[in-house]
Amino acid sequence: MFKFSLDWVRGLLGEESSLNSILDILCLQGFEVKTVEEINGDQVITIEVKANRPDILSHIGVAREITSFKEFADVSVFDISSYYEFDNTKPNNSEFPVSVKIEEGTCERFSAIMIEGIDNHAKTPNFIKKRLEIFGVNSINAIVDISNYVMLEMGQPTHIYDLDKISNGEIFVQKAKKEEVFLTLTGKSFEVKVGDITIRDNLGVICMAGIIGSQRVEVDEDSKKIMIESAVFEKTAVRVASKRSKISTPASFRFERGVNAKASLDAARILAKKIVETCGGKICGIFDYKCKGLFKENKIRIRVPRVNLVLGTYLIKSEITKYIAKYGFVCCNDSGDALEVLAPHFRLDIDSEIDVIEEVARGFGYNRIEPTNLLADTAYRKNEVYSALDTIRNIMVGVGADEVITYSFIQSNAMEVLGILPKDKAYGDVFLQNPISSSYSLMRPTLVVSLLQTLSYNYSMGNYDLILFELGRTYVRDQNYDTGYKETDVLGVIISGNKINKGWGIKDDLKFDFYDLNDLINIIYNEFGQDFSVLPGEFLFLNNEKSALFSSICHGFEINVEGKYSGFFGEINKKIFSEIVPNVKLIKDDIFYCEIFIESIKENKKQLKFESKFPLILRMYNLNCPKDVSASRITDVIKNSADFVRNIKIKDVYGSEEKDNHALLFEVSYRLSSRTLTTKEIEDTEHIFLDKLNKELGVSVKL
Amino acid sequence: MKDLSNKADEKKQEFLKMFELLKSEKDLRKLEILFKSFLKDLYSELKFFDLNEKKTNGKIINDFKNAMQLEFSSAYEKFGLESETRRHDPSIIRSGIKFGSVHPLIKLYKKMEKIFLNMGFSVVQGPEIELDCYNFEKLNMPPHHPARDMQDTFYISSPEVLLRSHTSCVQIRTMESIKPPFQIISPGTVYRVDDIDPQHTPMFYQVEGLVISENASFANLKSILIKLLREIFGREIGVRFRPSYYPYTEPSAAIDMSCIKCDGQGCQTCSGAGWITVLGSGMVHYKVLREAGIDSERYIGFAFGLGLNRLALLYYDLNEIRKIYENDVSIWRQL
Ligand SMILES: [Zn+2]
Repeated sequence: MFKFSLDWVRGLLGEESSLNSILDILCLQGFEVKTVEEINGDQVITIEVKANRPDILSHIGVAREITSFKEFADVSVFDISSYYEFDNTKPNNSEFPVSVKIEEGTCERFSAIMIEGIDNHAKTPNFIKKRLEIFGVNSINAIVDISNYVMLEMGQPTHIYDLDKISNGEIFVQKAKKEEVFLTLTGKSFEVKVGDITIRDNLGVICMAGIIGSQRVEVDEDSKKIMIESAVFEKTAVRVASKRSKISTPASFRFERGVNAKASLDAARILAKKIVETCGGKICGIFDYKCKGLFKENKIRIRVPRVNLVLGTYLIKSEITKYIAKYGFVCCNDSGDALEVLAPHFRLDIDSEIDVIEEVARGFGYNRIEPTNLLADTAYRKNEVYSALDTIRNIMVGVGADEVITYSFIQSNAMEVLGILPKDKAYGDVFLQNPISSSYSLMRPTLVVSLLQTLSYNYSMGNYDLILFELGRTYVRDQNYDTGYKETDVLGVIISGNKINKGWGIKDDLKFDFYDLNDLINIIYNEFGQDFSVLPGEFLFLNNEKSALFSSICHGFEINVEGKYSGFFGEINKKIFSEIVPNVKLIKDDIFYCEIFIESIKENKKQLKFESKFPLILRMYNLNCPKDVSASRITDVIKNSADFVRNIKIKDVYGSEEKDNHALLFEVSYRLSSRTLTTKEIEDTEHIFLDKLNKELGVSVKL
Repeated sequence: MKDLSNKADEKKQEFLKMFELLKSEKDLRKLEILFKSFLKDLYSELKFFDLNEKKTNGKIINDFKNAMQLEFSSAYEKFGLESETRRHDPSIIRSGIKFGSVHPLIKLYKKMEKIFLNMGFSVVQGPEIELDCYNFEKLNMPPHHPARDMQDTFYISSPEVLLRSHTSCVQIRTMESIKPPFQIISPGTVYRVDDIDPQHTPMFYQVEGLVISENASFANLKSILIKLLREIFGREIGVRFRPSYYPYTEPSAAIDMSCIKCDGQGCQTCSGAGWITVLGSGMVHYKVLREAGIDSERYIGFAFGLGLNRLALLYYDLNEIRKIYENDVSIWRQL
């Protein structure tokens, strides 16, 4: 973000452009206007300056960008050397009164000007004071105020030292070799770490390069002899130190993004001139350090066909030259299909052909590029998981379920509360290092907590009798993945309440029960033609089950596909959940939950088979069975009694809770493809399986 | 052979007498009930017959039924009624058949997805827990790049493993695994550190697209995104492209659409600007292509991305972004 004053920019432009025209230009040139505030009769405009354009973090930068938009732009008027008049005396490092020693790699440039005999009791010029006020910068003393003013105008942060406070006339710019602490201008202590760039004298740190100076050498109203530092420090070091110390200053903000080192000395000269004008004194030395290649010309070759390929335009060479000239690019070589252009020195973001192509696009105008249809010969790639998600969503909506999306993070203590141990299947310990709160901290290994929360939230909002589902992800550690974590797309379904409300001839509410959930799981796997089996579960947050399928008591059931754990289901243990989902007490009915891993579902090709034209014969059998005999065993016996057994359906299960037996009503259908079955054939088959059921499973026909 | 013809005949005579005695519509309905239950009895007797007997007697019953039905229709006519009159009241809605609801974000996404699929895009997905190199480094955002400040990131273990702050990582993974040319979209959940309040959530749904070919230009990018917005929001919507910056694209563009609330006149929704920024896009940076092992001289391409949650607020005219994850399903059912 950069705030600028409209008056200030108008002054630089030398014209009275209207506020709206300036706002429009900035927006269309890529600087989004965030706010416009009126302060002291001036308009203060905040624009978003993206990381690639640090040259806009100054009033001159803004003025330049506005000028560029004009038809016959000449941005060279904003080159500091032509814009300001100042003393051009050459630097002379050996005669500079202070010894400045610079470690390689600390800065691109380090310019310094020494002034002696100043009187800092002088008042800050009024117009400077007023302008700083607009930006909420407090007036401190003339020298500091002028230095802030120059930064806002030109973008070069400077720092000023009271030379009388510096020990032994020696200054070192170097990376810190040990940890130390010093007091900053604002009176806070700063912890210097090894490798931080510091400016120091014999006594210690006098400035954290590009961030903040030390109190010890601070300029005050009694300062007589000062040194202006106008440098450009290595930006990563500034950023690291600023982030770590959480001290961000207008200077560090600019250094992190980049400051034009080519203009540093000129900025120092302008600042020196303004200080002398206000506080008197005399320049008595100029120092200048430049890293190698600083003033090398930035020439870039651009190919005209490439420009048109990337932009989809039909621009010719002269047009291209014209559009980039607006931004200060000069064409210096023209050969065949290519141009060589010289980038303006203040543009730190230009270092390849594409950077110039972008300027062509800006100069031409994004809105003038004609949209054209893409002709790309690309192959469609099927996404198996994704299409399975779609199919499942359709099934769920078809059975009347409502889709929800919940946060991927759950309470940090969820595993302990639910009694899930590291060895357990639903366990997860993927925690965020910087969660927004402990309630949103654990990357969920199961959707059950989120769905139960959502179900109870809906009950609290008066929405009852629900099937809710989420197609979401779960997260666990797994070294087989390059990230070290495995993410699984899963379907979570939670069911509770009435399936059918009483009325319309129905005497009692019909509740959703376990068999509705079980149906749903079967519907989903059947849709894909995928077989699965059920194993006893060990999910302590699901209720105990004494299922006829298994010999021992289990907690919920596990879904298994081709030997792989692929999900689980069962009845929610409300007591266990009440600690993390307090509202669960609002739900009086049983709650059922299932989770299916989408990866376990493979689309299997199914074939249609037309049945024979001979009649299907239906027979009902009301069987009295011990409760520990599972229906699947009875079905198997019937199925295996003859090949013409077509289909077996369980039409009813009834009997009292206390008794050891219950009744199952089976409907069995028979059909042959070659002829009509005789009654005798069916009766013979019945005898075989009823006899077997009785002998092997203790199942008898109920009379 | 067993034969039901006598039984049927007797009953027929009995019924015919009763027809003569009918006084009201009510009597007629009573008679019809008697007839239907007798018919049912007849049919049930068929069960005990063998195949031949079934054939003969089935015909007898049918003849009886047809004859009687003729009598009934003329009797109904006598009372000025159609024979099969019912008393159904369509103003009663029982809500006995339930249809579910799709989450509004997904509903909007699916609409968008259909547009992309029709344009030949494929859908790809990738992990949400990501490596720094896919979320930042290979997108031309090396460590300490100031652009990283734009995305406040959740870390699993810093600095290497994080929750992706955009789905651009999927694009990198795709570029590393398949050869161009291709057109993909990568929808999915992304995360940025933000407290939960009416206008913020720490997670949102993003849809990004990537096209890499030998000739995918900025002009093509414009065409696709204008089509997308107009398909979703209507033909008359204005679309504006302006320069922007992302480290992974150049030239980059922000895409504004004319405010659908005020038609570009300026209102609260668009902060008076008349335009709302809905998409970010640009030509894929050559450094990104190179990182992914694609010849950046031969192939060019473009990428774009949008946050679906904010778009959903606009689309459904809602004011609280937080509600999207509260899941009051009675609201979802309005769609
Ligand atoms: Zn508006």
